[in-house]
Amino acid sequence: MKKNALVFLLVVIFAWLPAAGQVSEGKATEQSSATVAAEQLRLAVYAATLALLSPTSADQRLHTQQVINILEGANGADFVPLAAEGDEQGLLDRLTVLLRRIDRLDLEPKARARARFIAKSVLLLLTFARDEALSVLETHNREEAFAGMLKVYAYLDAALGQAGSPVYLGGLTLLLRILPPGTG
Amino acid sequence: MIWKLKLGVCIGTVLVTGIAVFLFVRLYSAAIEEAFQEKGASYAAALADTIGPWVESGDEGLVREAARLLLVGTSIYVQVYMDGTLIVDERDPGLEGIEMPPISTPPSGREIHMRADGGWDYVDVVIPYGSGYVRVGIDATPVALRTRNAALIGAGVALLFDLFILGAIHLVSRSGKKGAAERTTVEYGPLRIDDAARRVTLAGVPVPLPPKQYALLRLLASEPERVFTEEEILAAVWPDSPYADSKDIKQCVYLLRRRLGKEGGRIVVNVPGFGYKLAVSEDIDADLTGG
Repeated sequence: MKKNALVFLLVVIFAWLPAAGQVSEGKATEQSSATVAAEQLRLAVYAATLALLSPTSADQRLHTQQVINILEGANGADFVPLAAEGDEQGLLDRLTVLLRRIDRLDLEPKARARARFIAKSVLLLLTFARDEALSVLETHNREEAFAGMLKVYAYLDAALGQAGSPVYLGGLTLLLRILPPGTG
Repeated sequence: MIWKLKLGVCIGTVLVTGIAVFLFVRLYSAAIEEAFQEKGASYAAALADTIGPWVESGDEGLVREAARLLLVGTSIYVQVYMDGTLIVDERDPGLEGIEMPPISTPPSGREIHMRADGGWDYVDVVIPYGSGYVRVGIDATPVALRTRNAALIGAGVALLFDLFILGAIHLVSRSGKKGAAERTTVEYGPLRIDDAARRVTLAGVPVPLPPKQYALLRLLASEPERVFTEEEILAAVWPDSPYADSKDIKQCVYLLRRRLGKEGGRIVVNVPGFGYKLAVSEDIDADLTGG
């Protein structure tokens, strides 16, 4: 009886170990994905900054298109190949996948709810940024284009968030802290 | 003599507007060049601010990607130095023949220079960050284009202005001639009024009249036999004098009649209750002309 119990225990332990490894690997993947998304988002904020500071309106349009390219990726409907392209997977895609995976992560319910809420908010902000950037490309009025890019910048900046941002609206910066640390 | 004056005015107008356009273009060019340099500096500063943390963490891939994002449109090269070592050197494919040796002593603040090299006119911006500096070249062709456009617009406006001024001079000169050709002379019986010479003759005899009496006679002669009311006379003869009244009219009529001689009372006729009119009947005409 004792022997059977011992065997059962060993089976359980050996069965659990790979699963634990998978969870850890899953966390690592999500953290890594969020880290890449945060880097992409920083590049998008930077491209939006360049659009706002552009010396000519042609430059402004190019940098606006760069923002759209980063958000949509090479498969996006509004992607236009320019001289320099970043990651092939768009930020919006990456966030959508991340949002789906959060439900499968081994997180405390409260942390998961918070992570989901933040990821959804970030996704929404990025969608606003993409839509506004598209409308900037349609206008030929420089003032309007500048105002539009200012909105794009604000959306992207809010999506990135800061360390001191409110816990439920913290953007990707806070999401990186919620997802298991040290696995990125 | 007049054509010389007109020619002088024409040349003067063209010269003045030419100088004005030249100065405007120079000032405008300087202003947009300064604004362009300022924008170029902020453009490069955005790169320096963004890549700082990435350079420090050794993430050269992101630094290179940020440099590539900047290298579109008017940006022609982007260089990133860290501790004196060139870690990113992205250039426009058409950029050849421009040497950019590393700066031996990294600047403490931003440095902006307009340069012309290898067939390029560009703004060279150097911005320091933590442990190095970024160097960005921005094609200055838009400045030249805007300056050229400003010069063209300025020349167009100047041309229109010159044409307007010369046209106005021409019109004024023509209206002067026309005015000279249309000297009005009113004749009514033995009375003759020459507006241009402000001269009145009655049966060929000059009748010198002071301005008010002349104005009164001219008004009445504009429509002989028509009775002008006192209000009409006051408005025409004393337009700027709100205090003039019927006494002034009577006084003026009295003096005018005296100037016109013994027939004065029959020429400037009072129509009681209505006003005054000019009337030269045939017998007056005969009396005056001795017919």
